[in-house]
Amino acid sequence: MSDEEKKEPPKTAAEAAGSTIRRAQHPVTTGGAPRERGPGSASAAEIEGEVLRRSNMAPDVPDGVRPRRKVGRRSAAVTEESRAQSEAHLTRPSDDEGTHFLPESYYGTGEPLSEKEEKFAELQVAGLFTLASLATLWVCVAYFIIPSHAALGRWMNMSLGGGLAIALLAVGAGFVIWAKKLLPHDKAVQDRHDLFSPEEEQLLSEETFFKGVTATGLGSRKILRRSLLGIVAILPLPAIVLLKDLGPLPTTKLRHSGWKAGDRLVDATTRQPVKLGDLEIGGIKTVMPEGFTTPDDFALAPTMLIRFAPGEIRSKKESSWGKFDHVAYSKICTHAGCPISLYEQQTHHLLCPCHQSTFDMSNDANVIFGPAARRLPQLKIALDAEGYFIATGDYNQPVGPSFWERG
Amino acid sequence: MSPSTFAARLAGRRRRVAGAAVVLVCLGVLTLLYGAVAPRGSAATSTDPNVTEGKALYSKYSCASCHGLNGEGGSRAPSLIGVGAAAVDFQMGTGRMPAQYHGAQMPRKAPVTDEQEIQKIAAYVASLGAGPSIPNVDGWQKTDVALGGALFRTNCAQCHNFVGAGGALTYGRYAPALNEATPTQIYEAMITGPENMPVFGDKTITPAEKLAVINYVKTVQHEANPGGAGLGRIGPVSETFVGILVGLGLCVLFTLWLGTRA
Amino acid sequence: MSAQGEAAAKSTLRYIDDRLGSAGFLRRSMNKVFPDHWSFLLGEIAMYSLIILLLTGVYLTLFFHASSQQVIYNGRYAPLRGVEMTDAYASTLHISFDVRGGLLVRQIHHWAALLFVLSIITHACRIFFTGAFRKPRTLNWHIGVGLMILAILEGFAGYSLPDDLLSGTGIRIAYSVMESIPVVGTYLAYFVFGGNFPGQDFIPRLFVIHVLLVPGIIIALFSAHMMMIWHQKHTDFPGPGKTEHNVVGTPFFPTFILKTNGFLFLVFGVCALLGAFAQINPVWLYGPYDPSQVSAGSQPDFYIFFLEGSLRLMPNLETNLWGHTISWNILVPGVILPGIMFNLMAVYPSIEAWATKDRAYHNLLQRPRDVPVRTGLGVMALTFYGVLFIGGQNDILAKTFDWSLQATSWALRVLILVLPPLAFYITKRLCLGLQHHDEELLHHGIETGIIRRLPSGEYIEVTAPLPPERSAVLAMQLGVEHHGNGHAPALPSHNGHGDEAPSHPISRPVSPLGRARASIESFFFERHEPPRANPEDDEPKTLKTP
Repeated sequence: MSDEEKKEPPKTAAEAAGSTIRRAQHPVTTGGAPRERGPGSASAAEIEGEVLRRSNMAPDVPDGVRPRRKVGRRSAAVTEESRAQSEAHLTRPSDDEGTHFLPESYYGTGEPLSEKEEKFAELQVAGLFTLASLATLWVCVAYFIIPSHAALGRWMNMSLGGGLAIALLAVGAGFVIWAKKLLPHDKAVQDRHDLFSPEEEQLLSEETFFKGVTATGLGSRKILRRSLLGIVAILPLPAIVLLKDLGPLPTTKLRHSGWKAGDRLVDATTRQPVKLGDLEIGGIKTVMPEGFTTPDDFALAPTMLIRFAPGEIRSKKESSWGKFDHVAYSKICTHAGCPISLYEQQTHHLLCPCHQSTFDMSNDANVIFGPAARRLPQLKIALDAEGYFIATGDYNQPVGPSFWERG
Repeated sequence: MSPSTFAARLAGRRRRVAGAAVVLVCLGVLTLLYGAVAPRGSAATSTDPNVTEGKALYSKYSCASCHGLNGEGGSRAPSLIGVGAAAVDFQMGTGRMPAQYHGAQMPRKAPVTDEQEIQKIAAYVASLGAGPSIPNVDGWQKTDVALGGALFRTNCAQCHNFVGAGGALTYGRYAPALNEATPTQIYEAMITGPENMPVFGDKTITPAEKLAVINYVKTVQHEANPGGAGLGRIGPVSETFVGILVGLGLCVLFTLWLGTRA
Repeated sequence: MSAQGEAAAKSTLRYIDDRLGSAGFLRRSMNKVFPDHWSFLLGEIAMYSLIILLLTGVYLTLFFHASSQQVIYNGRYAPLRGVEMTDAYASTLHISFDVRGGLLVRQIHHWAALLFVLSIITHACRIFFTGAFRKPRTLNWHIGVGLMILAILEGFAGYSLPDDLLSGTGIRIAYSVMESIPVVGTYLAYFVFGGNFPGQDFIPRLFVIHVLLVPGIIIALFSAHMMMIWHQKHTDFPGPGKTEHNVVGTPFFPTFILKTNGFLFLVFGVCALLGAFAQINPVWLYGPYDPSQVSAGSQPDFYIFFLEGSLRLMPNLETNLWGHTISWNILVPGVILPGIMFNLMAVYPSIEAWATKDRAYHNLLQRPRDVPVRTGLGVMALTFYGVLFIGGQNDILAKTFDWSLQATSWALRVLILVLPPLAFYITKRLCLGLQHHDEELLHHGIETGIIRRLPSGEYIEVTAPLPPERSAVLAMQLGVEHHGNGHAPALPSHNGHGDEAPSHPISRPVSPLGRARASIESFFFERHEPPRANPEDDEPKTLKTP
């Protein structure tokens, strides 16, 4: 190589500083105060005064007796392998961010691992990886040999999942122990450059942008600019218009629950019509209009049929719309639409499990607690010729939660 | 004394004695007649020993202190007339009665006595007025468990939760968990509507349907949890706690292991 | 590395560089320094949960049928045989009972979803309380808030897909919330659901949202999030040798990547552990969705608890004017309140910057105690959220602890107004107290626990000065002037064993509890013991200068 190359100025601070060891002895940071080394300098962990010596033993215990093993402590060059690892770190070339390493001894990070401890750590990691391999194989085998329907699949779930968990945790622990015990512990330092660009670059960038804008002619050509604004404003409209057929318009659908005049009240599960005398005093039943089909058309139809004892109903309107102390109220909560049917036969409270709206069913479903703002709508019922309960028409108001157009 | 005076006195004495004798004979006849035609107390007490013993037990366990001397009820407790043997079997079999205190709801506790005594008290209460009798739930295992599930979800789950783990009602009342209830007790609860539970009579939910519901409750209760620990089967609340404590907790412990402190 | 391996690696790197010019980028990346405080790993929990969700999610899409078509179940689970249900629900049952490992993957997916949102919240708290959102990272904070909202929506969509009774109830409530919006509510609800509730279109649309649209946005935002961290470099706590213009830590390759890779497997292992042994979302117990059925104790997943709680605690206000209804009882808790909460969270950095007139760059973090007002506001917000969170479970609490349901609700209504200001005040006082304690340390030194009796008979406690580095850092954090070591009383002699200078003048714990605590601490935390006074003495003899 020529002399010129040898005399090239160093490109990085690290290069300028020279050898690793010299850098360690005379540390310079690119900002802030130079490091001071004083006796007893310590990290935040010691600030409250609870510093440990290596093993919490009294100071007069001789060194050789103190247990020396500690996770993650090592100094460079104890074994051949670790020496090579450490040297690899410390001789790593720097870059334009001034990346350089401070060797462990500089930080004095505690207790070095002895050769035996190091070998043990390696065995630990290898053992964990082997355990993980075995667990993985177990998962593959268990898939075929475990009876997959025993206890509804519980054994299969625990075998596959347990094996997978062991495998993953063992691999993870292996990597972590490898990183903590077997890697060199040198700290790396790097510069943070200013994030903002130099003033000149910013000005040039602005100039480029504005010159480009001028070149488009937008500034001077008025008709062009205005017609552009026009199209840009209107262009997204088709995307919105095309979404119109996502669903029908609400129109009056929300006002109809699906009940019609003459519909028999039938049990929601068994579809059997309800006769006078089927319910005991204090009994309830969830009923739907006879012939109800899909939930879509009848989602607002669920109704509670309740039987009171004579004289328990306090509201005249309520008893006039009922029949022989039987009343029918909408089951759909006027708050957020959950079906209510927690009925307390002695207190006549009807409680909604979702947000705890409570209605007094002996007083025309008056709201006595909770976030519901309106009473439940009542369905006017009658008896047909054979003694079955029928509805005399739809509810007299929209059923369920309120909406803007409700009225 | 002259003979006429003596005869007169003798006749008077005889008249007095005869009068008394007639009264005594009449009284005796009336007594016998009364004994023949009078009712022999209630027919039950005189023929069914269960009812008699039940009445004695009714007093022994001080049921009358709230329910009245003849089960007529009062301000503190409802009337027992017409509740039937099923109600007694349920309430005393689950230990809810005799009640310990007057509160929002009577909790289940250890029964104070055994099955035979409860049966006798039940017989006595049944005699007060017609009501549901103790049901026979044989064959519940053979019913359609899916039908039972559908009925349970419509009629029962809103208070007792999907699998019968129980739920809160208003002002301190609650629907209890069903895992301790026997099939008979479940049937009895449906048919008698204890405390605030609605009454599901045999024409509201037929006996066959009730057995299906019992089948569903017991099947699900004893069913294995295929995903692992059931966590109470109450839904996201317990899952959240496990997620925070075990999931996030373990992961944060791992970060402490991996990282350093300031 | 073996010669062959090295040759192979070299040729691969050359191959890539010849086509992409990647050598410089790779070198910079491998050298990149990451500070390694443990709390910087909380965001990684979220990142790895996301990866687990993507992997398990793809598996589930191979088996799930996103269809609302009614079918009769005829599978393995007896209590539902013959029951009519949607195909979505039936396919979920199929995955749980008939596909080997299907239930495991379903459960890992759901546990990972919980962990995802939990770790996002924890990570956001860390960012907030250490002030990492300040310039130049405010934009990243906005992206983070967006990610949090998307994660919550994604979770809601995910657990609603199986169309079971519990999640269906939640969808009913969501429909009602949409409906309640003035003017456009009913139209919005009808367009989203394709008609009346429940409709046939909602589950398939939800599927596309959950599987394609929202994950796509999340991945895009998350990539932007990571790229900004990469470019701006991670923040760090102040410490010896750390300044606003450098980063101290571990290099990306090999140390950091090994550790973080291990962490990925550990997080995955935790999810697998939960998926194996803790049942979650047992939809077969809930039954298929039916608009006429509901269960006691219905709750959404935990990240929606605060909305559920606000719906439960809101008083029943509704306005009826001229034929139109505004349901404040749904609008406020369901739409307005979360809107305010998330917007406040998003703009907070700008509010703080405006209030403190702080336009400087900040790469060093603050301790929560050093900014009492911000910490107090954060705790206040968390308290408000916490009361709503508890409110969402009030019926479970009432049943478990035998409380009156109504009394519980009333108590929470009072607490939501009373607790947050109280929390602010208490937190602020605690922070100021801790700062005061630090000032004591700075000016008076560390208590050594050594009591000395002076010849005059007076007892004094001996304090030792803080190490100069620590005192410099502490002074900076407290914002006080630093004058050398302050008042420095003489160092104590060491247990009467002559005048050997102790390497540090601090007492060590002698009680068993103190020793136990110290040993647990030393297992978890790397200990930066003081460097030797003469580094040359410790110079490893075998290390040769290059």
